[in-house]
Amino acid sequence: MNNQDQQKQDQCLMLAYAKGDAGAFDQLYGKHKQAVFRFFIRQNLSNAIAEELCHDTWLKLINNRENYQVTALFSTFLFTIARRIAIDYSQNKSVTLERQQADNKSEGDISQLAKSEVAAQEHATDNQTLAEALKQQIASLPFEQREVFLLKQEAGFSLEDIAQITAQNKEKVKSSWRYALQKMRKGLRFYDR
Amino acid sequence: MTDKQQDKQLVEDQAFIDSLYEELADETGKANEEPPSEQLDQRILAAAHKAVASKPTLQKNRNWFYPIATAASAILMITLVGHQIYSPVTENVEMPLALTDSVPSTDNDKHTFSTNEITAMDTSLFEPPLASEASFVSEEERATTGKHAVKMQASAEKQITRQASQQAKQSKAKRSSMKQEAEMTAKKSVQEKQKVYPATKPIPLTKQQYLALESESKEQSLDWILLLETETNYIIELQHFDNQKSYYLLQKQQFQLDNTSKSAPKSFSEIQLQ
Repeated sequence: MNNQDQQKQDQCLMLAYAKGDAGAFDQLYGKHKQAVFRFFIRQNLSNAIAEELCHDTWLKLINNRENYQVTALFSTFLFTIARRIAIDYSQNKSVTLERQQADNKSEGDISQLAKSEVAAQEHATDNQTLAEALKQQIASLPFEQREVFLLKQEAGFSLEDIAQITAQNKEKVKSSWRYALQKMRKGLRFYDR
Repeated sequence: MTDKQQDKQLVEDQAFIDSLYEELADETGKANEEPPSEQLDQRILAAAHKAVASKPTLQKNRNWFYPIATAASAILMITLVGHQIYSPVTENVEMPLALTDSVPSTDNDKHTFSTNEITAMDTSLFEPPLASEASFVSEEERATTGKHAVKMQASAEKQITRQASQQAKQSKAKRSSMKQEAEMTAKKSVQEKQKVYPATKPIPLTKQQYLALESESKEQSLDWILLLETETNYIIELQHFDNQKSYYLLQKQQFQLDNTSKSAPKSFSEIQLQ
């Protein structure tokens, strides 16, 4: 089944759920729960918080089921909600705390990244280390770039879809994507062969 | 860096990241698999099922609620419109209420003469024919009463006209007959009013008035009859030499008089100022 068919199926399932078919939701959830959860966990959030935000996202989708229109792709609809939840969460947290975390991160990340680079260099073939290094590099990206990177690389959206989800210009999304890739490659250069 | 170079760089960077993701996927089968907990799954699925489970109940409610609500609204509308069109116009004309204004008021009264008190009086005292009653009314009061009557008639007409305009469907003939009826009602009620209430109210007797009347009594005969005695007041009828009568309210604190006989006329000089 190609991507278009999948999208159509998702749309049908969502419409069926909006009409009261709970089974349709079970299928949708099974298909997309992983992507949504990964979207949050990659935001450098703890497991518990990522789960909580996941819960909020799906709950919002449940409550807004009747507002879903066929014109929007289901995944776009879903990730638009997820993104808003992520932004709300970051705004609700005090800016100071975020800054502190950012400062700590920038200081700690340098040392951590340096350490991980060293560790990665030592165990370059170790996939667990690669996974960890990827995670850290994603977490160290600025919010806009991280958001675009996750939606593109992890959730598989096109730049057009991301522009729609984030309500931004496509060129800006492309620019964020480019910078995100540059930083990721730079951070993971020891894997570059 | 030109656009082409930038795009080339972008493609290279993307290929590099993709290769890393592929490397992870090759090794583990699925890249970065981090499933949410089962508890979370259960919570979300339960919420989803609950949300749609409650919906049919709502629709059930709507099934009977909306038709009944619509029917009730329609009935209410029809009743209101029917009431507006077919109900008689002048049954509740407010003229009788307004006519109470035509009774001369005594703003300077310390003791206002209540309806009960008047009723309590010997009504025979207030029963002379209308013509003689009218003679008690001063010219000014008569003019005021006349004005009020005219005013009331005008307001009644206005009201009738206003109500009639709301009933555009009613014929002009009916409207004029209603108007005449209202005028008749107004006149009738004025007449009734005059029968029930005395044309004039007892005037509280002040010291100045007393002195003036006393000096008048020395020149001409001025007799009085006690009409009513209350706890605090006397009400007397003053008979002037030309047979004109007027009523006065005397406060017991201020005046002293012989209250033994009510029917016999007495001289004004018997009223003493305390």
